Amino acid sequence: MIDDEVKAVILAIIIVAGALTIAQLVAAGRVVEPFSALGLLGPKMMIGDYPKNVLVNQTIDLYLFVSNHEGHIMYYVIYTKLGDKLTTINESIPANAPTLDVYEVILPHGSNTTIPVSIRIPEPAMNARLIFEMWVYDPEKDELRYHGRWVQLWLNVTTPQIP
Amino acid sequence: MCLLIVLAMLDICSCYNELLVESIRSAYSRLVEAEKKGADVREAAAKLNRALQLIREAEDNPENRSVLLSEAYALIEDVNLSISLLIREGENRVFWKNVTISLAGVLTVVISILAYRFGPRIFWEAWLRLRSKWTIETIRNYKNKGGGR
Repeated sequence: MIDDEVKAVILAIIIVAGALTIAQLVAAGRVVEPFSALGLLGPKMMIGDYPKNVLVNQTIDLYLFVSNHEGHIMYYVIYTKLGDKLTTINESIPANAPTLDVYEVILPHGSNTTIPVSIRIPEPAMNARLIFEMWVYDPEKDELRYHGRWVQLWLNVTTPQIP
Repeated sequence: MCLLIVLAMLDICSCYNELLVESIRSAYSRLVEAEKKGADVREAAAKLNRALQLIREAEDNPENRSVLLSEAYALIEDVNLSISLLIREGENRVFWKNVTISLAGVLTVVISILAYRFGPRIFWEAWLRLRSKWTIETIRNYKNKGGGR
C-alpha cells in the first residue's frame, strides 16, 4: 500500500518536472505580447529638459529612442513632421503635415537604439507640434506601413529680435 | 549645357542612393525569411544599419559621398553573401532544438518507467540507509518515562 503512494509521488514529481522542462524548451524565444517602443529624449539624452521656445532656424538637438520587442527583426522608418494644434494623429491615422526629416533603422528583436536628431524649423509658429511617427517596412507588400506609434513636442518658434 | 550635365550627375547620385536603400530593403526581406528559418540575424542587422547610417552621412557630407556609399554597398553585399550561411546555421539550430525537445520527452517517459519499476525499492533503501544508525528502544511503560499525559 505504502509502495503505491511512493510510486505516485515520485511519478508526479518526474512528470511535472518533465512537462515544465519541455514547455520551457518549446516556448523559448516566443514573444507573448509583441510591441515596438518610440521615445523622445531631451538634449542630454534623458527624459526632460525639452526645449519649449526656439528661434527660427535654431538647431534643436534631441534623441529618439527606438526599441524592438516584436519577436523578429524590424525595419523602422521615423518621420519627423511639423504639425500644429489642429493636426490629427492617432494610432491608425498618421499626421497630414510636412515632413522635416526621415530616420531609418533596422533592429533585431530585443534590441534598441538611440538616434541623434537635429532639426531646424524654417518658419515662426505658435503651438507647433514636432511629431515623430513610427513607420515600418513591410517586406511582403514592399511598402511602408504606419505602425501606430508617435511622440510629439510642443514648441513656440519665434523670429530672433534684431536689437 | 554644363548645368544640365551637373544636374544629370546629381540625379544619377540620388538614384544611386535610392538603389542602395532598395538593396538594403531587399537584403532585409531576405533576412526576415532567414530569421523565420532560425537564423541569428543580429550581426547582419547591425551591418545593414551601418549601411543606412553611411547613406545618411553621404547625404550630409558630399565630399566623401562616393567613399561612404561604396562602403555602404560593400556592407550590403557582405550581408547578401552571408544569408545562405545564416540559413544553414539556423536550420541546424532548429534541428538540434527539436532533438533536445524530443529527448526531454523521451527522458521523462523513461525516467517515469524506471521510477515506477525501481522507485519504491530505491526510496526504502535510502530511507533505511539514512536511519541505519538509529537506536530502537522499546518503551515498556510510557507513563513512567514522563512522556505521557
